[in-house]
Amino acid sequence: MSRALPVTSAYSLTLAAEEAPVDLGAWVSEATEGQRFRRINRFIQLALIGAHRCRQGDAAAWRSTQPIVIATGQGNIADTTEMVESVVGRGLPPMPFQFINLAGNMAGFYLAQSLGAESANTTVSQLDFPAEAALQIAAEEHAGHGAALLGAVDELVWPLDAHRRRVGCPPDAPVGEGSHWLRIGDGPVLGWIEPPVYCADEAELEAVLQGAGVDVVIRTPGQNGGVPAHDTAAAAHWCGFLRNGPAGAQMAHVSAGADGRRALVRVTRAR
Amino acid sequence: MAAASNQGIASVLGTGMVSHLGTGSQAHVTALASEPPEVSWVGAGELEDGKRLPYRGVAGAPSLPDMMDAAAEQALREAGLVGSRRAGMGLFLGSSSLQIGDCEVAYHEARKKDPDAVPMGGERSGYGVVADVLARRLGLGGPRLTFNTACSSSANAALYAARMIARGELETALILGTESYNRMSLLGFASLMLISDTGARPFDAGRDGLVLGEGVGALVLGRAGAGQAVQFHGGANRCDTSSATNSRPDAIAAVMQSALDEARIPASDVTAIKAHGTSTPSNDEAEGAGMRLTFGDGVPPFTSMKGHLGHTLGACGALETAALVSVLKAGFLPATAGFTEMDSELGIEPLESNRPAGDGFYLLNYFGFGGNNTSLVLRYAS
Repeated sequence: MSRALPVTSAYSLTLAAEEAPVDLGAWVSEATEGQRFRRINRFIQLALIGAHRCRQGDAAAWRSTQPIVIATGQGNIADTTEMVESVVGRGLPPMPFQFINLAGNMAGFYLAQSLGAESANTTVSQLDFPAEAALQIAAEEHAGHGAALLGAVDELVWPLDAHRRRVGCPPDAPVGEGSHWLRIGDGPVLGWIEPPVYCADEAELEAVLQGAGVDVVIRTPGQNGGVPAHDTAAAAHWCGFLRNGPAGAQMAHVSAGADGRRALVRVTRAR
Repeated sequence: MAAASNQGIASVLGTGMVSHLGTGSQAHVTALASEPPEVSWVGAGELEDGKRLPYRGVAGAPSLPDMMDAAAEQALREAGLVGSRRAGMGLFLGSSSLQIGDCEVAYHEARKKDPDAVPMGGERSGYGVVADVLARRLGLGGPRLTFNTACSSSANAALYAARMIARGELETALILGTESYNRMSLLGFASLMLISDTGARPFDAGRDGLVLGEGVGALVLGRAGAGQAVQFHGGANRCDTSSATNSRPDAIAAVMQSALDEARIPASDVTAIKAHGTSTPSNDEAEGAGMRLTFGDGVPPFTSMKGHLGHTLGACGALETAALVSVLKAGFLPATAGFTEMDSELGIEPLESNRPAGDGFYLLNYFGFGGNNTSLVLRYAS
């Protein structure tokens, strides 16, 4: 397998949309073993839960020097929306901490602080393929540092109708939020994941898949398999296969872009 | 430490700039050689007493897409990348605010028609939209990555693009740093009391804050090769977890040293530094102390461009790198606009006047909220 990245831990949290946001405070406290965080927003909470749970799956191999790469489609959209409402709608200047938390990399900051990491720390995105973008950067970090912590985080913001339009979902489609994490590096492996291959269209994808020897092809959107729609849902499928796929099997995950492009990520479960 | 190779990890094949100083390389060379133009003042009625804030806006207030198109086309043209030669090209965009200014305007307009309008509720949004639209417009067929690490965003975009080119994963990449006027950033920095009442004065004893600006910087990177004048030799990104808004001197020293290590050069080989130099008391104090930790008594000549360009936040990585390339090609390093009096606490002072620039290694610093610190190493060989 070319450039296959060894995955030593995977954790995936997906929350389907409720009438109102589920309070994550207790989950953060439990996942971080009682660490206290002041004035963090929901996006940061989701990231903390997922990253710490992933680390707990592989605590022995954890290194403070491993880079952190976070994928997101919408970022801290709830705070951003509220801030636009505040500044434009109500004519109020932002509160200092609320403004600081708007920086796209604040989840990475709190993660690094709580994990004791001073490594490279990047937040990256790509329309239709945000998780794939982070996987590409994590592969670069793995090449340079031998390890990377890759996360994919997206939050919901209510009302849901507007949120569906933001993420390009049809009305009434099930939407959700998620925090999906992979630790890439040395140690006992769950399996392997390969950097994304981009195809201009379906025909090019089919040519790549032909004879590729994959056991199962999962496509999103389309075969969501109970995963509610969110921009980084691809990573939920990667994590799910690494944890629960058949031993030795290979999955091809295909994300479809609105312009016809495809992103292919191959995941192999260890025997 | 192994000796640095004459060949870097990627070459700078083209640059493009749109800023308060004008459009294009020549406009920036001319302006950076001179005293900076007067700042504009932006009304901010939300602040007490209807206070007005200094701002380095782009003349004519062009839209973000227009600024991006202009800067990108300059860089692509200089690199000779037209038509099908762009097909596999990657786009690496770095920004702190992306299209938030457009969202503010859209919401303002929507509220006139519907008082129950929802902010950012009209159409597809997300961090990747700006890059995707631009890539399609320019015919760039490679990855379209958007980096969002506050003020180091486009420096990180350049760093990852250079590394992917060095590994042979890409032939060429367009790096774009973007920042366009938005009330949220202006009022947010005002609420943090980081905006100067008197103008940016980086590293000056009397500095009292920054002046924000808007602009777009573009770099075209390609494979490193002999005979290319400007090459990336390495860089580093590290997270300082001590504070969300300020960096420690040792963390700044660590990222500079990591960049030098990746470039495989000793600190004594650095010809000059393009400092981050925001003009806030805390940034310049930490950066100055960080330089002294790294270079001891031999701190190389250094300058900050923010007295001219303003602090263009996520755009500054690409914009200031492009501007540095332009002034190096013109043969000088610009003075630090606004600096007049040495800060005895820092014990070092930036360039007070323009200085001839020669061949050598240049270190460029970019620091962002969330402790996101990046240093880049460029080699210029005329």
